[in-house]
Amino acid sequence: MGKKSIIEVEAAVLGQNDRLAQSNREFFAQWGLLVLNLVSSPGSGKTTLLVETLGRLGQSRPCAVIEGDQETPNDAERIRAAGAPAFQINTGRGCHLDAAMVRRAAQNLPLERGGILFIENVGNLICPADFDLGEQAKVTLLSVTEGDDKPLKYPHMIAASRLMLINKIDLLPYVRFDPRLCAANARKINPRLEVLELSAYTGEGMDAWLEWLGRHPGFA
Amino acid sequence: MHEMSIAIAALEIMEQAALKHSARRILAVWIEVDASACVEPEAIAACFEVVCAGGIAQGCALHLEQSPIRARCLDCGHEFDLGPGLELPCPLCAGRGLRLEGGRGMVVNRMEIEE
Repeated sequence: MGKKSIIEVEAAVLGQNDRLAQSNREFFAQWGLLVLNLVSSPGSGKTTLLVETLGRLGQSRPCAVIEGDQETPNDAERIRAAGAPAFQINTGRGCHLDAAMVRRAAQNLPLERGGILFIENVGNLICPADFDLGEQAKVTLLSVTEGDDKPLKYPHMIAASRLMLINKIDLLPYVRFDPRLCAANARKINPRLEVLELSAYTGEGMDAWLEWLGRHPGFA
Repeated sequence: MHEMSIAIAALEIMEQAALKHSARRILAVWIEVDASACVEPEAIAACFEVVCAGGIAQGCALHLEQSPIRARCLDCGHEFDLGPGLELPCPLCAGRGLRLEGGRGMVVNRMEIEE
């Protein structure tokens, strides 16, 4: 038996990811990009929101999209069909994107100065909260079919987000969901959270979202 | 299962530290997890056992130390400790607006090694 001893380590478990995220942030700053990490449950409408957003932005601001899914290239194909370059990451068993995956994807995309890089994270409101990708802001998307207490159930993600989008408001007549209560619940956790209501499907509320994007020029 | 990624990241840090100290085995590790980290201790423990199997940390005892995170009330400025769940009114003024003061996340604090 060798000698036993206690050693001090004092190292952050996600330190490596955090360092890569910081390096991503510097890379994105060189391009003056607005980088948004879009998170939601599966099926809240992230890809539809992006497709509609790209269509409305048109040529006014160059966009690129990193698509994170467990499997299939389907979402990247939908984005390309909407006219923007997209890079698909399949995480396999993984439940989130990390900073290294995003760096590789960003280097494979035709980025344009002053543009927007949307990162569509894997549909999951838990794990992506812990992984900094080097984005400027996390945007949480909820849909009205999910329950207005959802922000209280997933407080870590709400705490980490800058903006919450409440999607599918065209379905409000058919579901028991109070958008004001949902926003109030979210602000119990994050009082500075911005909240917008929209329907990517009908287009209602999309102007306010585009206006929000316009107010955020990108990394300086 | 991001606990798996976290267990792998923790093991990498442990193996690097073990190499630096010329350890032959890692017998125990103390990992601090604060309330801002979204991890489940039981899931971490299960993943940790799996990732350690077959290496120098096989059978290593995992001591998870849960620490609170400091919160500051935006209404009255009172500072207090917040546990997991993150939603709590200020104990002084019942204010709902809280600002979390940068936690340490997850930290590998120390290890017991055999040389």
